Amino acid sequence: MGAGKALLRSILALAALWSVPTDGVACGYEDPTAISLGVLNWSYPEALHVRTAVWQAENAGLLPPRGKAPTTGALAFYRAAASMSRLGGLLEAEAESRAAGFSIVLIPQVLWTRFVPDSDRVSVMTHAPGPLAGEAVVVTNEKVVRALLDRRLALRDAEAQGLLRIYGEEATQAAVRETLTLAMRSTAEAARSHAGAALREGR
Amino acid sequence: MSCKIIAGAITVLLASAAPLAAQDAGALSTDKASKAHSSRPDYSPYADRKFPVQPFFGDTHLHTSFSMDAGAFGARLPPRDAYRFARGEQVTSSTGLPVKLSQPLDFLVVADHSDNMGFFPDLFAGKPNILADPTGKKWYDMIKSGKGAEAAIDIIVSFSHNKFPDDLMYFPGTKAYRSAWHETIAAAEEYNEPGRFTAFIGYEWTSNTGGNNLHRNVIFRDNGDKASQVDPFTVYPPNGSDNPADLWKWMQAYEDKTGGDVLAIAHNGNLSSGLMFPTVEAFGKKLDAEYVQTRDKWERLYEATQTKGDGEAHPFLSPNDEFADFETWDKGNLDGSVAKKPEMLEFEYVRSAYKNGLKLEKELGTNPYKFGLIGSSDAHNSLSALAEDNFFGKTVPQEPSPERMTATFVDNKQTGVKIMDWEVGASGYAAVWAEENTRESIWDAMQRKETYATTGPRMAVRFFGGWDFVAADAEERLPAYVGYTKGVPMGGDLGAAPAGKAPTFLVAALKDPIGANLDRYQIVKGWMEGDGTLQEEVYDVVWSGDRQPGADGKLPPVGDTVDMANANWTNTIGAPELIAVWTDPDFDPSEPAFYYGRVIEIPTPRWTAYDAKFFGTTPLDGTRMKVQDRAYTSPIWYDPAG
Repeated sequence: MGAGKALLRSILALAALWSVPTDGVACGYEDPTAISLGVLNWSYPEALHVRTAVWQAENAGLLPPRGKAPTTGALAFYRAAASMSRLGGLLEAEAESRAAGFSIVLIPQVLWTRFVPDSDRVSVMTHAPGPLAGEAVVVTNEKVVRALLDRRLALRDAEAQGLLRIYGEEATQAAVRETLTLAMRSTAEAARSHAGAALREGR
Repeated sequence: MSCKIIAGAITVLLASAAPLAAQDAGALSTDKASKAHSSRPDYSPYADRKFPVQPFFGDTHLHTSFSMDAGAFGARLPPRDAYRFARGEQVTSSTGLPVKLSQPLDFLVVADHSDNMGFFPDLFAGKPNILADPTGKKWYDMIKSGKGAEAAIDIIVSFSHNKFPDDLMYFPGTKAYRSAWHETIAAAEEYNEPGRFTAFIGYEWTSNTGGNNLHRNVIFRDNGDKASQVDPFTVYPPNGSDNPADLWKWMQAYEDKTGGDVLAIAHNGNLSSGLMFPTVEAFGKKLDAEYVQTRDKWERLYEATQTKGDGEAHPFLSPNDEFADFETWDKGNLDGSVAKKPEMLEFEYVRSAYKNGLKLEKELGTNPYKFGLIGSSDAHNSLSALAEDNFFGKTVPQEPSPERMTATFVDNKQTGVKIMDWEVGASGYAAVWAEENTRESIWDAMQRKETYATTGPRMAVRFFGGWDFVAADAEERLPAYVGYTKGVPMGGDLGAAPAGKAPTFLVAALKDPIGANLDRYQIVKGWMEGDGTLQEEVYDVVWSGDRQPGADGKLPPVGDTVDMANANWTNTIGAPELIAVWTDPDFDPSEPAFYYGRVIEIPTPRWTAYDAKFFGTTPLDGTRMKVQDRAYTSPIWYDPAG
């Protein structure tokens, strides 16, 4: 009996209960893994509190009620990717918000997206393997991102409710917070502009 | 059979008592019992009382972040938090939920996996011993760069390919391993408060060859001064072994070295592919006198119910027992790599083990399966929260959320074994009739098997056997005095029958004070006929209401008050107390036998019903939404040659 096999049997008896991909770690939309989520709770302490905060916010009416839309699978992935792309667009539109690159990890699927500022654009790398070293990380849920983009939720409220947590050095956290705030301001202004145009056009 | 419900008759069972000297541990015979337990005093019925008057409730099987698998799935609460929670404090779960028990537990064993104990917290904390190794540093950097899951997989693959760096192995004897063990001990020492709360020192030995569960929890009677003289026994070589016989050697060595005491409790025979209770051979060696004697010596108890299924009986083995199919997990072994075959079942469940034990005793001189019963959780999130309305799951991903009722727990594509999260049971606890709430007293009660398993509720259950109980004994205001004076409690032995007599049993049960009423108290009997044929029978002894058995001998169901929409029920059916004396009507004095009690509650909402109401989740087809929680007492054995 090899030491490795014995150890695998003995230590990871429970771990073996899950469908653990051994040829790489896919994001949860393709193959939900409890390990991906569990490890996140160590890498980013209390990251799993976000998951609880989301259903509590749903129950409290702060977020839309749970629907029947799947949280895994291709459609869910495209919905999440669309939200990330939309956020990237806002970041790109707001020049001041392009100061800091960062990553967002959506839970419970553990889908990583990196936002990488360039000279005149922001690259949105959905399905990224993870953040760069030293990069700030935002842990949240796709529904929260949509609520932020739709101006149904303010960033500070999302943080206060535990729906979104920012990790990293203090300075990088602050930079991400500012970046997102500016982007959301852009959203607000766009919304106001859209409303104003509608009024002028008599719609 | 008669039905007797005598209000107030057994309230003495729960009366508090001053600490008393611990009695001898070990099996009780009628002679030993009469010497140990005084007869009723002249006036004050409570003066100089020398028997246990209170069942202490606890969990002998709880994992924390120190267990590698628990940590990998997000458990962040260390042993200290587990003890705080069990003592009744409110804590915040690993998923951020405030959680508190409805009432504190009396004792707890933090039983983290002995293999690589403490590795995970050290890895994520970036402890110097981890970072000093290039691979450890690589994993740590992966974690810090958001690739923690990949690191975890890399760790697993390293193990399986024998590439795990020696310097990172948390072997017994290494500084890092010892640090985790001593931290476990320190937590137990800190929260152990004799007379109020018992924090046992313990660990789980996790033999899992081929995915077949042969796990044992090891519990120390001793304090840290002795427990810290050794490191736990592990599975992986060179120091460890997956053979229980080697664990028993370790236990003997511990006692020889320290003068202390340990016992081992196996669990989840249902996930062992028929290996938990062998009758022919174990680990390639034919069962012999040494095996049965050694197993009997060290394994005084068995964990009959827990989150991964109930192990008292199986409907395939007991087709006439309408209550045998309770929270059954019979699809495969622990990791689902071996699908279940019917021929495995006989060697996986308590009742069949008891029966086979009678046969082994005849063949080899000792019954290796003469164990008492307890229940426990095997939760991996530091939370022994097992009430149906306060169930925090087996693992962190199974803590309350809208998804947990529809999520998958096991999905082995090769074998087709698939188990959903809703199949995880909110079970169970260990109940121990001990004189006082101390390590020594509770451990001694475990050793003499004066214990019972509950699937969650904290009902008080008495079970006495003797030759002279009469119906009037059930009308005594202090039946425990009668029970201990005229018989032996659960876990005891009855020797050769006096001429012309059949065994009599005084049974009593009191509902969980904040729980559901009781449906019935049954006695399960198993015996071996002269030709070696093994038999079993379930007798309804006392029940609520005025129901009468039908032509088939079966008692009608108690009814059902469950309001599924509101996850509620009423105690308008059932009985708060059940007490009776029963005489075996089919007794043959030449046949060895065992008898144990099974107490069944009225139907109540299962945890899934509470979740459905709270989260508005639509259950998957087949989801169990109601439960008849229950208790199983340790048996009383009858030995014609005793």
